[in-house]
Amino acid sequence: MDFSGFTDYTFEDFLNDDVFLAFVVEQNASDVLAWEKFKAAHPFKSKVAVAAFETISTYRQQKVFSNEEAQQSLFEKISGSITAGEPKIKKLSFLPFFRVAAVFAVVVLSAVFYFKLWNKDAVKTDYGMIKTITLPDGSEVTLNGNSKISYAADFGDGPREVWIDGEALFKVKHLNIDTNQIQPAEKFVVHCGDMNIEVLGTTFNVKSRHEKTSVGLLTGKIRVDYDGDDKNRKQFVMKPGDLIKYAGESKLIHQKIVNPKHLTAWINRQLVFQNASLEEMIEVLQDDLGYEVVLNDRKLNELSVEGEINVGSVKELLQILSTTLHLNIKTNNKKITINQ
Amino acid sequence: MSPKKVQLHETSTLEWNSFKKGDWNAYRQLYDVHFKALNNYGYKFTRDISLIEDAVHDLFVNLWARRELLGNPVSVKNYLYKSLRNLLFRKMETQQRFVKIEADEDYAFNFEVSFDTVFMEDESKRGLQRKLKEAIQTLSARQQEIIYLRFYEGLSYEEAADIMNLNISSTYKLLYKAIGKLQERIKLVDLMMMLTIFASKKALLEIN
Repeated sequence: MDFSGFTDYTFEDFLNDDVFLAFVVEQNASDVLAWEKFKAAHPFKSKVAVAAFETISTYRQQKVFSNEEAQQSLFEKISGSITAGEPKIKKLSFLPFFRVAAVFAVVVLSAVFYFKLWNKDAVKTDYGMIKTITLPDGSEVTLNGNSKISYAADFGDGPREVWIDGEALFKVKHLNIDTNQIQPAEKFVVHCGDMNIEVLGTTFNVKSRHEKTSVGLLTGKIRVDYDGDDKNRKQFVMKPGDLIKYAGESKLIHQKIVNPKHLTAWINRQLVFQNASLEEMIEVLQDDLGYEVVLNDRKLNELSVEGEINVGSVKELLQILSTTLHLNIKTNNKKITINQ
Repeated sequence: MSPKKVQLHETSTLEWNSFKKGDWNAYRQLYDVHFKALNNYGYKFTRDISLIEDAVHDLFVNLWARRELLGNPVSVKNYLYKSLRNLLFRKMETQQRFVKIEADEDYAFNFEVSFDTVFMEDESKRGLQRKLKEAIQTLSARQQEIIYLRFYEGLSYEEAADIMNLNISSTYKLLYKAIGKLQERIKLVDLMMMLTIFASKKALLEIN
């Protein structure tokens, strides 16, 4: 390692420097030799470096809590918990699972004879609740908090149709065999607000709140139709990676998904934002999680956090907002008050 | 001077993969290699040892149950640190009845390192340690944690950001502020004076 490049460094520069830090932490024999030479060659200029070196070294002089006494016993406890949990996992092995599925199918079939066509099923989630449901055709839908989906209990021969209000991730089962000849039953249509989304088989995320709809397509191909600004129905075919935003009778905004993982992070209860304004973040807190957010100045809405925020809890999000935007944030149950 | 520290153990991709395939010995190895460091890290947040043990317990039970779904983290150690931190935070939060978030106060709990004085024979070094200790105590918990992850664990910005669930730019800001505060408190001139005395004493000793 060559220390001569460090002569213009300030104390702070040293403490911030990855290379210097790695040297102090690791202290490789060859580096230590170079270090001694550097100090001897630059007795004055090396002083700041020595001060930084000693500061980090002194900081590293810490008591270690290794909890060694518990190492063996805690592992035994862990193995105990794992073996206790194992039968549960075995219950989910394939054979019994299919039996359950078969029984379920029979119940649905017999019910279908009576309620066919006019019976609509609806699933609604509370604030902060995330729920995955399987539709009659085997397609999966994960609902974010405060969201609702309704669909026919039996899709019958017609297109598979669902109505969504809120946010949902769809994994649509592909039924189409010949792409040149699409049968009605092979279609899958999502209705949200004024927009219809027509699908063959695909994964995509829909968010429809405050009369604003956004659709992000992860795999497959979908076609959306909507009211254009001239009141005529318009269509747009989306390709994987496309993100569209639409607010009734307006122009459709077409973007690319920056990071697909961000789009579906809510499934794992992660709060992810990219260059987001405070307003966008507050919308999520209110719409998905049921918080009431009070701003003492509406102008605060325009503040934004550059870069990426990726946290697992509201508390962490608020901590970041308060430190990066210098805000005074107080929480009281589900009420959040934000002041400058 | 060799600082006393938890050794920087790491699990190789090979070991990690055999654990993921259900190799119990590899799993045990994973536990043994990281146990001490995880406890040491957890101890910075709480002195409630049973709480740390609970978190380590849950961490490893989850790890085994979800082994087939796990990806390949760049650093297993950092992945475990991050998971332990999340588990511990959740446990501490449920323990705390009143949660308040104020502007600069960040976690509702502390981050605390205990300095080792046993091997400090030299008076000037003891002085430096005292100053550093005082300076560190004026930092917020979040600032203390980033200093710890950088100076003690020797992590890069990216790694520290990942563990602390922050983006890179806020990590930079956080550390800059923390170091700025440290420097204000320690006062470089004093520090250099102190070290000069120390060096000349040492030189004297060597001559004699």
